Amino acid sequence: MLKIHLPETIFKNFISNLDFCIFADNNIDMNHFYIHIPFCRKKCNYCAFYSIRYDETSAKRFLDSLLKEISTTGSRFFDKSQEGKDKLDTVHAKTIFFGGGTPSILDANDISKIISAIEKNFGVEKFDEATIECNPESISLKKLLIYRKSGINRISIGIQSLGEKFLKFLGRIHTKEDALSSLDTAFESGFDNVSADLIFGIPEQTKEDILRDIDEIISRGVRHISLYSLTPERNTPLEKMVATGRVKLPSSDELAEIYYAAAEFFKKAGFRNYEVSNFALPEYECLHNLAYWLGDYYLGFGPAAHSFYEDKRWHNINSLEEYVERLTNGALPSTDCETIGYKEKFEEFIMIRLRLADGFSIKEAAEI
Amino acid sequence: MTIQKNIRNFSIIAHIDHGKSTLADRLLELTGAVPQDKMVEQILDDMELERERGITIKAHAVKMDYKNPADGKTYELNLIDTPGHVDFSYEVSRSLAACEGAILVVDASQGVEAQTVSNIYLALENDLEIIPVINKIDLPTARPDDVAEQIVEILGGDIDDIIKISARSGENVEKVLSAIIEKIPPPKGSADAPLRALIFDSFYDKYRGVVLYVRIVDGTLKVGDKILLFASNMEFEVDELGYLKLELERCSELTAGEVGYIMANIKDIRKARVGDTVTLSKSPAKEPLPGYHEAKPMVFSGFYPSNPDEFEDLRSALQKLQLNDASLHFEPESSAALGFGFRCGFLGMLHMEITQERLFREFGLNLIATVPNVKYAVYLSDGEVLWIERPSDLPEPTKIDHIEEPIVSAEIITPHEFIGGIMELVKNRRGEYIATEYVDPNRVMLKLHIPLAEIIFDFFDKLKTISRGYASLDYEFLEYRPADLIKLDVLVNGDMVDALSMIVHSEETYFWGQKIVSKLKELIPRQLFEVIIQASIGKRVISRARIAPLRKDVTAKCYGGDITRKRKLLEKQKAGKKRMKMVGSVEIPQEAFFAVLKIER
Repeated sequence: MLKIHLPETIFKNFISNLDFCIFADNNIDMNHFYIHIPFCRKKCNYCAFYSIRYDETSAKRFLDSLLKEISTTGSRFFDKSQEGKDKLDTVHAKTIFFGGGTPSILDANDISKIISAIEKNFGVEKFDEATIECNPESISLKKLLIYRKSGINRISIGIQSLGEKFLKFLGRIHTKEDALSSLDTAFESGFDNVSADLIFGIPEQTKEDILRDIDEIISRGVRHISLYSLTPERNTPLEKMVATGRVKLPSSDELAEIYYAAAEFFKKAGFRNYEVSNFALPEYECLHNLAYWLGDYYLGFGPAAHSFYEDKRWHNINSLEEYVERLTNGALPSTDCETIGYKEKFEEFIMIRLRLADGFSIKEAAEI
Repeated sequence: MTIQKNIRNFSIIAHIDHGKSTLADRLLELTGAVPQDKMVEQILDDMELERERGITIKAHAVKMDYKNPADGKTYELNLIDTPGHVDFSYEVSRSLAACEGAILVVDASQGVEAQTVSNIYLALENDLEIIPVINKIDLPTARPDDVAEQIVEILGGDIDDIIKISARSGENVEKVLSAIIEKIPPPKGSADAPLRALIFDSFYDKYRGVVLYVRIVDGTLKVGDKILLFASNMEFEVDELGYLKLELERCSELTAGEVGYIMANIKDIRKARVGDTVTLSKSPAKEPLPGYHEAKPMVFSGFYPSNPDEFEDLRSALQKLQLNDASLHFEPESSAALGFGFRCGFLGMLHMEITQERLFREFGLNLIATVPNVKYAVYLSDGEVLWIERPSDLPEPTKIDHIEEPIVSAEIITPHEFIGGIMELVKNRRGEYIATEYVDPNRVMLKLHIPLAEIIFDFFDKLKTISRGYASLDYEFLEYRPADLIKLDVLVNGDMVDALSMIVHSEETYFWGQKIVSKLKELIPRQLFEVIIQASIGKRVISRARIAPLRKDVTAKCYGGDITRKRKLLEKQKAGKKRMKMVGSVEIPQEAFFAVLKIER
């Protein structure tokens, strides 16, 4: 643990509630970073994450603001002039995760810049795990090679399905062919920790469809799969389609049947169901997501990114415009800071830990 | 004070949605009783619930001073509004008894409906002059001429006397005002006779006590007079009198023919019931006005707070409602399944539903209401008689000599083509046919005796369906009669749910057992374990169903770090479960306690 004393002047300049969140006590124990890239070429029907249509100008403004957010937050974590640089080394950041949106839509060199900014501002030497989410259509060998050079060591590809009609239903813009070749490209560029996202519970999708997809993906060398059930999230086109009856989602019994069959299939392939929706070969679990589930602290950067530190949870505003504006005015873009009391902490602990295969011990729960 | 011959007391009667409240709004506007800027739609229906359901629950009254353009004289027009449901037929009859005339409103598209006919009969029973009005003539579907013929057929009279209006646009509404003045007779009573005033409504004001709405039939009442209420035999001193404008308007005396209010420091509304007669203590009238009877609760249900901590809140809310509702009865009770609550008595099903909804809306109380039932007289072998207001209180069959249930005498008016279907329904509900009378060439009145318990289960809805909405029903308590009744219990995973016990006819136990079990199977959500539902008579299980355990619960994704949202979602689900009741380890939703009502026969 590193103790930092912040000068009075910094407190006086605080504008956003992030400041009250972070500096309640000046201990630093921050090992996980999330970067939200809020751009897509096209938004999928079911997606409730914040993302807008990609264009170069917006991407440029986003990057400038993001780098500013990282440096501002970093400087408030560490007052270098007062504490001296050497102490920063005691912080060992473990994971970074680029999520979205479609992180792979950005110029690969921008990803390098962001990683460097985090390393520099938070004194990180090396990430144990650095993941970037990619969509099959925006992957290229060239990009992947730059990622590797920047320190990315894990690729998570949004395949979702290998059935053309299901891809179309979901509003994806890639084909089965794109999906499979993106996996090949990922391995070709030297990554061995490659994960794939799959969705089950799409109307008309059978148990056989999903097992075939899993089989085909595993056989290409993928070592981690996130298998999510299609959920009509609020304010998505899918929610509307379900509400108006145009789309009928499978019943919970039908979903259970598919889910259990998939779990069985994974088990035979040596994958462990380490979290409700996640399957991995030994030692290929996603460390970043585990950090969320184990209650570790994390900082999120970019619009709509979530953060957790000590007894505070907060997130950045869900608007690129406001995000840029706040940072241009020297403020931080955080909002909705919530203090987690004992009751909330206990509920969260039970809720999240029960998602993990390892669960928790009564002793751990008692120690909250 | 207006001279008696310039007073008109009238009511507006209509089928639901035929435009009664809109016409009242226009009359208030035309007579200047409401300034334009204070006008809201359906101004007399001041309970939110009334506006929403399109029904009038409480009676209201308003005095309008109108300068008649025809003779230049100013008339006092008292509009006495009436509730519109069979549960409140007693209140309706008292409101009509306070009038000399009624405006009958019929929708120009819908035409004459069942309630129209029963309203006409109610008005005629009270010797009212009826002014027929066809409303909504501006609608494209209007067929005023056909409707006029229907009215003449039932009511007689001259077809040209029927006024065709649009209450919405105001078209011809002034003709209604002229007709009120020309056709409705002025009140008759004598100002010098001993005082007789009819209480047609009352409400409780927390500062002034009970405010009585009265029609002075005979005599004169002054501030400071000592009054006697006939039925309750209670004396009070009048401390304020006035007219019923949109707000109360004080005056020093009320005299024969007039409508107004009395404040006399009355604390308990049950001492000043609707239908009672007010007279003077020092020179009382010999006889009260006819027609009074105390409205007794006929239907009983257990009201339990969803949140057990709200028991005291529920008590205080019921007390507050009772201040304004003399016919609401309640007393504390407890149930093994539902905890502490109140056994409440109501005039009928609508009265019960309205009370439940008011508790929710006005007091924010979420309730679980048990299946309504009637009051049974249980004769024990040792000669003792028990009055049972809830099925789970029924003693062991071995201790019972016999059980008696309330029977009502019912009248159904229907177009004759539906007689067959209605007789079938009556037979299924253990009804006894008494007589048929022709009301007009097309309509008959069926007289029957039927157990009240059978009527409170969807009888009215069924009747409406069978008769395509044309039949109307009226009933009153007749007597208690022995019946072969038996208690049916419901068990969920072996635990008896006392709130679901019901008393049924012995020949129908298997029917009810199967139906309730399969209905509960639909309504109880799947749990993480198996649930067995059983219906039993004593120890004998007569029906059984199984609810398969839930296999998949929350597999929805949880990533991106938004733990707060996930937690709030769970908290919301947990809040939703508050409306469930735990019986043993099984969560039972509120609607399951109403399951019996949804059973199709």
